[in-house]
Amino acid sequence: MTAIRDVTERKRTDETLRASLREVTELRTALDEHAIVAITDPEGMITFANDKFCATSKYARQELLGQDHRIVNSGYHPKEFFANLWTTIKEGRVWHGEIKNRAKDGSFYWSATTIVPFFNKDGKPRQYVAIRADISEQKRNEEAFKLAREVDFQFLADALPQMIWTAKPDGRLDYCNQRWLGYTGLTLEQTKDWGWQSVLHPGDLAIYGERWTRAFATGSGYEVEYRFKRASDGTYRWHLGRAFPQRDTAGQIIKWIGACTDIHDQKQVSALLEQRVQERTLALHTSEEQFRMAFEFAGTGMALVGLDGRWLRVNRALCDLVGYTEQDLLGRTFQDITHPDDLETDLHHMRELIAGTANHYQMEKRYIHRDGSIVWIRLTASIVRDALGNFTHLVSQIEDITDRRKVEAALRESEERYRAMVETVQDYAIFLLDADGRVASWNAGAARTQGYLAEEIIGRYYSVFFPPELSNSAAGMLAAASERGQIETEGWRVRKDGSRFWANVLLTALRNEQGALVGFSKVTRDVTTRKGLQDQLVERNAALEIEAQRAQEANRLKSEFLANMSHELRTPLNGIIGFSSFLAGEKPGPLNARQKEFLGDVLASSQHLLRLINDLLDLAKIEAGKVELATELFSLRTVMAEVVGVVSPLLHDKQLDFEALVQLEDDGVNLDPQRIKQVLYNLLSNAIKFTRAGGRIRLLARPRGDREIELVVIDSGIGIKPADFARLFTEFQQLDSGSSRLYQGTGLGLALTKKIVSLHGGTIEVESVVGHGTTFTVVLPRAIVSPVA
Amino acid sequence: MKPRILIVDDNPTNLKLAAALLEFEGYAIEEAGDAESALNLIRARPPQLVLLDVQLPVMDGLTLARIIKTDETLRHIRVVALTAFAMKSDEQRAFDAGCDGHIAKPIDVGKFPELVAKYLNGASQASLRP
Repeated sequence: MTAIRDVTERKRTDETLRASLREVTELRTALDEHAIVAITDPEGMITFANDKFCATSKYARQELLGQDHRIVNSGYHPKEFFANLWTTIKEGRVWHGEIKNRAKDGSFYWSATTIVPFFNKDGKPRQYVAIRADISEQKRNEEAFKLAREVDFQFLADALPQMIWTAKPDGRLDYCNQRWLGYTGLTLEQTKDWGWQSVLHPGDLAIYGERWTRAFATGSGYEVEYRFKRASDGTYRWHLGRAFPQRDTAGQIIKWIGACTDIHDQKQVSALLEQRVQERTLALHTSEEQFRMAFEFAGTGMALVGLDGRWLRVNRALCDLVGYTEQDLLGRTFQDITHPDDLETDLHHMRELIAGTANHYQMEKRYIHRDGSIVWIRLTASIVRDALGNFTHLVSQIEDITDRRKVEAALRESEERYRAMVETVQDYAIFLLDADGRVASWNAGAARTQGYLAEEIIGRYYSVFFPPELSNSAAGMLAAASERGQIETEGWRVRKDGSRFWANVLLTALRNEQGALVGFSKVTRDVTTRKGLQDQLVERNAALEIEAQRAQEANRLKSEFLANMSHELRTPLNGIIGFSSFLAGEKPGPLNARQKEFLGDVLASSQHLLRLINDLLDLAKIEAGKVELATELFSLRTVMAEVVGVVSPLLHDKQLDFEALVQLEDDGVNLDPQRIKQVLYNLLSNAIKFTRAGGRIRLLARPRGDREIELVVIDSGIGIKPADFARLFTEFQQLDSGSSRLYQGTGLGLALTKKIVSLHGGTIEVESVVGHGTTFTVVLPRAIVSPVA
Repeated sequence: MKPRILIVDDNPTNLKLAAALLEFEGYAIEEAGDAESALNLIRARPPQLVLLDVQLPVMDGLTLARIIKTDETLRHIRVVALTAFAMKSDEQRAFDAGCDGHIAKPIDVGKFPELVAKYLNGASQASLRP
């Protein structure tokens, strides 16, 4: 049963299949009659094309198989159209649409197309079956109808002086009117789709694209400015483009209609205008800013003042000047802070401005500072009109001149003081000469000194003051003063009455700030008295000179006298001493004891006289500065021994205890040995003289520091009273006159000793105790440097 | 033969003193009171030594000394100033005039003959300085 059933089933299936195939065949025949059928593989390659396809596309079947449908692509549809188609069928859905195709001969045909996708069991597309109905005729009718409308439209459009275009809903241009084509120089063909963009300025492409995109998105019209190249001169000119969509009854966009208007000239003018406006605005802004800055930060005070005197605007410098804040001032008038004494003048000037008799004024006036002090200012005010010529306000510039006024006041004061001083000066003629030497001013002193009154002398050339023989030197003095700036001279001048006076003249060139000579100041002093004194002084000097010469001569004479006196005294002494000692030596013959004694007295007296003469001569020479030391390096020890040798008879006669000690490691000194001998002799002989027989005497030489030595003579004699120390070293002052007979001396020894020590640059000191003894200490340098060397 | 010494001095006392002292020593003494007569004596019979006072009437002693010392025939004569011009400067002037020595008045009677003897024997100036 099952088998029968199977056969039956199969039979039945075959029947069905056969019926189906028949049906398909019939259907296919019907399809072939009416429809274009094509089957493609998943990649779109045509695997089947029916007769109708071949007939309609005018391709042989072999030409179609193995190709894809691009072979009949008309290029009419945008890519998106086919992308949409493919997306639909790949997703397994059936696609419907009208496609414009192109036949092998280039003619177009429209087909209403249905594409059915077939899938494998695994879900992948196996093949696509496209069934198309040729609707070209219908389309042609449609298009003919549309064209009819278009033509009407185009006819109209071409007649317009406006550039008109139309575009398809997707934006592709499909029409430009004659005006448009004429302007751009393109053919209609060249403008089609996006071809028109070749005349669009590249710089405007972006904005244009942006507007179109927005228009598509919103379906609304747009307005945009862009540049098109004008064919006639190749220049890009600005256009205003407008476009709006045309919709069908269902509201679908069927067309874009646009118009372009050349706005270049307009735009240029307006751009120019705009530029001008901008420039003007900027300029105004800048000048306003500059004005504001200049106003605000000006070093001088600035203000705008209302015609009633109210401060309208004030700057910082003005506020600082008067000590008010900006707010303070703006609530006040200039009258409020003007010094009462200056107010009327200021108001008067202001009234003149307002009356139109002046357009600015300047005055120096005072403000009252907030702290009450006076502020001197220089005001420069001018009046401002509005566009209609009406006065609106004043512009004031306020310069602080307080310091200048102070300086001026000080100058004035000093000038007045100077004038007062010059006027009151009686002893000096003080006057001015102009640059040519004519008297320009005259003071009381000048009148008094020179005898002219001001009105008599002003304007006269100043040589009138010179004595006739000197009047030629007037010009030269001016030239000298001009060249050197100032000259001082003395000479004789003449008064009005012809009398002469000795003048001290100070002539000073006066120059202005530019250095140009403007005149001279002349200060003349009558120094006749001084001149007299001076002359006397000269005489006196001459007299003194003569006196000095006389003194010198007298000194010379004194020296000569001393020398002569010495000579004249010695000459008789030679006889006295010579013969006395000759006799005393008993060479001419023997003498008795008394004769011998008396002859000894003669000898002693004459020897004393000789010493006196020698000492006097030495003193006189030293005082006359005639003694020059003959210094040499010598041994102090040797010199001391020599002197001790000389006095030793005396020491021996009195039986004195004597010792000489040299306590120097180096006893070499550079002094005058003869004079040192003289010093030692004088001191030792004094000591011997004033020490009683059997007394004690010491002579010491010892160092004092590195550079000095001491020569010390110590005796145990009668001593010296301290009160007598002062006159010890004075000439002819032998102490204790009562002792003169006992102690004979010239009275010159210590005076001479001190002078010799001083000549060596040394000192002499004395210590003494009356009745016990005396110590003389001579301090000498080890060496004296010759003043000539 | 005794050396001859000419003493020139315008002061008779001093002339006499010097003469007496030197005669006592055994010298032959000639005397002149002024330079002119002294020069005549010298020229007539040149002495070995002239003791010459400086201050003399008419021609002074130093002029005479110069004449002697600039005369080829006389310059060998020893000339010693014997003068009361006792200062160092006076001594120097004497030497400058050509004197061979200088003895200051008043003379030291004890040393005088000795000094004269030395000058006669041609002692140098320096060694004889006191």
